[in-house]
This record gives sequence, structure tokens and C-alpha cells, in this order.
Amino acid sequence: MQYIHSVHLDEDQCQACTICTKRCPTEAIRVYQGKARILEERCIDCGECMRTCPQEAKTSQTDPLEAVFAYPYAVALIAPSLYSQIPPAQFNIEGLVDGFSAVGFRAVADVSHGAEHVGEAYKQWISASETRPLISSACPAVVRLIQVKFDELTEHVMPIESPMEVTAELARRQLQDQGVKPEDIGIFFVSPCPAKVTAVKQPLGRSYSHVDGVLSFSDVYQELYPRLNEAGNPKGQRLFPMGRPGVRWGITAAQTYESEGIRMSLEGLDQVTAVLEDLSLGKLPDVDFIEANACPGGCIGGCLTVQSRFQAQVNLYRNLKHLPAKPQLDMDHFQRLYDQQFYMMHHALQPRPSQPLDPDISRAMQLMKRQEQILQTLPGLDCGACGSPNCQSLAEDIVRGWTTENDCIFILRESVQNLAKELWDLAQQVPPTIGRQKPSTEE
Amino acid sequence: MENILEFSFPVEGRSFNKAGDAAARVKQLLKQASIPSPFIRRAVVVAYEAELNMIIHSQGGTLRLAISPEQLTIQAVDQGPGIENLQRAMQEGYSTAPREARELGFGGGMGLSNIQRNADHLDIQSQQNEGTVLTAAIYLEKAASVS
Repeated sequence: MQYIHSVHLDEDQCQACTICTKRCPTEAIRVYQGKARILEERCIDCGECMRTCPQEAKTSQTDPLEAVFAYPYAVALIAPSLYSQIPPAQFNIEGLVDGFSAVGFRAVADVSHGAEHVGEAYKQWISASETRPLISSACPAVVRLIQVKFDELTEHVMPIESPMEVTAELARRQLQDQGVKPEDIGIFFVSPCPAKVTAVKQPLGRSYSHVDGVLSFSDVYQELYPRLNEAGNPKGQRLFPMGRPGVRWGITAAQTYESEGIRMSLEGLDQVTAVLEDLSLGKLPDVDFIEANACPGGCIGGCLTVQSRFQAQVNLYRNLKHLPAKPQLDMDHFQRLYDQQFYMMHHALQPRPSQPLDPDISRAMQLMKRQEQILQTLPGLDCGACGSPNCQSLAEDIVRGWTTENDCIFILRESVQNLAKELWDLAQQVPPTIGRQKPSTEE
Repeated sequence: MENILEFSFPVEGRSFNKAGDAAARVKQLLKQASIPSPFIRRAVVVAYEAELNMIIHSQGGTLRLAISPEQLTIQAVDQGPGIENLQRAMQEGYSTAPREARELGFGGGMGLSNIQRNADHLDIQSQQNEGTVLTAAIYLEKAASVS
């Protein structure tokens, strides 16, 4: 099956500066023929390249806001991090529902509610499972990082659905109970990041998503902000109650709120990668649960948000004060759903390791030998001018047949130097016909 | 022609902050070589524990990896005090690690037994006050268990 990505390159904007190749956590970008190219099987849609591209040539493919109007009953599925984007002075719980209804939505479903369900399901799974440590499955970029680069750790990922997916399914059930026709319901996730766009188009641990479309935070924000507190017609409804514990999921260190055991909270792909590297060596065996968010700050730092993550953090903490401090989860309802396996992924996550040099060990070894030889000849500066992120990956790209040694400007320069020397030497060798004339002119 | 690919990684004694660097590279190389992942997992444990032993106990040495289509060999060659009592060293929980290492959470006495559990064949040659050569093999084919 072809892998679908949300992160795309706008070729007209790309200046081939190679900055993105160096920041990519899975070394999934190469620059060749003057444009950055994404190696689809390695991309985890984390958005790191979107963040670092000085030309803003990397974009996330989200649905246009107009897609909402195709459904008579559109639902805005809003991430907890959205609450960090609204300045405290404008924040009003009912006013937000009004704003969404003015934009064209009939209902608002808070993913923070799903987060409370998922947090509880995590706690129960931690007690039930013997696998340690268990890694949160809430950040799709981290899950894909594990599948691609730390495939040996795939079984450590919580086999539990994301808060987004849980909320979407709960919303669909609730609206159908209200008598809304299933085909009229359109559920749109308002996303802070490209990884969640991919998680809808290509779900993790299931074959279909309950989410019908994904809108970018920044696109929605432009329409929503001027209409906050301005009721639409018909007036919208809020499907789920909100509490602080769920909304805190927008920031790191909120998952498995008030639970027992040793927990670790990570944010930013540098931290996440370092800890995953430790785990794959068998370190940290006594940690029970690891919360890992690809973005610095957590989801509020997603690259489709509009506020700086520091401002966002301040906003979120101030806006939280309007919400009840206790979780709003109905525990009986939760337990019924848990016992029905409602929260479980439909199938096990599959590792997606990058391709070995050759499926045959002997042939792969031959290529590795060549790769080592090539690496010895490269300057080791990791300058990236060749379009590969570092010398080691250039050596690998060469043996994979994607490029040649002359893509290294140092090797090219050396070759030119040798060629020039050879030319000079040849130029000194005067042909006999000219040579015969030479003595006569000198006389 | 014998088809063996060899790599070596220098390991410094007491360089606790670098513990795992060599083992992580071993993992990367084995993935490139399309070694099936259960073997990689075992090889990485062996490499990491052997690397750690050199860091904790020795004045440094070399971690070697040899890949062949039949087996993976991990060898740790160090200059150091050697292992005084090999039989006791193999016991789980028995440790001679210095306080410095234990304070950092290393030296729990599980290293050698962990290596033995994950290797199909283990050989340790040690000379007091000279050093230790640890050689561990993981067989890639079931038939190879006849050592």
C-alpha cells in the first residue's frame, strides 16, 4: 500500500539550501537537482522541516474550510492545544462554541474529553500489561518514529487509540443517539500538526478513521477569531464536558494524571530520540510509562499553531482556570467501554524499518564493505553540500545507487585538481612535429 | 573466500557518558545488513553489556563486530585488571564495580550473565593485571547450534 503523507514540498519555493536535510530526525530528506525531496518511506510527518525551512517551502496538506459545508451536520473536533491559542481576555467557554457555530459547525467535540478517557485506559493497561516501559500512543509522530527508526520498540507502544479517534467515535455515537442521520455527520479535526493529518488519512492500528477531514489550526483561527462570542444560527452544541485534566494534554506531562508508578515526560524529538535509543539498549527497564511528544512544549508547540509556544503555555494555564479542576469522566460509562475493548487499537502496530542495503545478507555485506571504503574517502565534515544530511548517509546513498562520489564537493575538487595536473602534464608532452621545430626557433 | 565483515569501535575506560554509543552503531550496522531483528536485539544486548564492562572496569579497549552470513561475533578486548574469579563474575548480582560506577547506576552485577543469556557461545580469556578478551557469538542459522 502506498504511504500517504501530509508534509509536502512546494518546489517553486525551495532554494535547495539543505537546512531541512540536517534537521530531519529520520534523515528522510535529500536535495537533488536543486530541490529537496522527501523519502516517503522514512518521513514521519513530524513537521520539523516545516519549522526550519527559511523559504516556507514545506506545507501540510489539510482540507480547505469549505469542505465543512458539504455536511449538514459538521462537528469541530478540537484539540486541547486550541485553548492555548485564544488570548485569555477573549476566552469564554460558551463563546467558543458560538464562534464555531458562526463559522458553520453545528457542534463542538472536545478531544480533551477523549483524553480523559484515554488517560484512564492507559492507567488500566499499565496495570494489566507486563511490557515495560509502555510508551504513549497519543503523538502520532512519535509512534511513526518508533515504527521507522526504532522498530524493535514497536511492542512498547500503548495499543490504545488516540484521544482524537476516541472522541470522534464518541461524538458520532452521541449524535446518532440524538437522531442525527449518520450520513449527515461530518467530523473535522482542527489540527495543531501535520502528524495528526496523516493519522486521519492513514490511521495507526486501524483501517479507517471516524474523522472525515482535517483542518489546520491556522486556517480555522483566521475565521474563528473575529467570530468568537458571536452566536451562529442555528446555535451550536457542546457534546462533551471539559475538565482541566483533559485540556492539560495540550502541554507535556499531563498524561496518566495522578497515577502510580514511575513516569517520564519527554518533549521535542531530540529528547524522544535519545530516550528511545536508551530503551533499545535495554536501559530504563524500571520506568512504567513514557509520555513522548514530538513538539517542544507538547501539542501547543505544533507547527500549525499560530501563537509562540511560550505565549501558548501562558494562555492555556490562564484559560484552564475557567474549567472544573476534576476530570469530567463518567467512570461507569468508561468502565463499560473499557470492558468492551472500545479503546483498543483494532490491530497491532507494524514496524516499518528502513530498507536494509540488500535483503540478502551476503550482498548487503558487500555493499556495506563498499560503504565503509567510501566513507573513508569522504571528508567527514558533514557539510551537507552534497544534498545528503551527512557523510555517512552520502556513503549509504552512493552504494544504494542514488548518487555518486562526485556529489561531494571535496572529492569533486580533488578530481578537478588531479585532472588539471594531468592536463598540465599532457600539455608538456610536445608532439614530435612541434618538437622538431622547437630547437630551430631557439637558435 | 570467507565472507566476513569487520568493524571496530574504540571504547574509553570510565567514559560513562558515552556508554551505549558503540552498541547503538552495532544496531545500525546490523539493520543495514538485513539481519533479522530478534538476532539484532540479542547482539545489541551483548554489545552494550560488553561495552559497559570495559567502561566500568578497564582502562579502555576495543569493541569488535564481525558479521558473516552464518554468525555475528562480538569481541571486547581491553587493557585492565582482568577478572579475578570468572565463576563468581558470571553469577547474577555479583559485582566488583567501583563505587564511582555504582553511584551512576552501573555495575549491578548482571552484565556477564546477560551476555551469556543472549549469546549462543561465550568465551572469556582473562589475564590478571593485563586485560580481558570476551568473545560472544550469535548463530544466525539454527543448524549452527552444533558449535
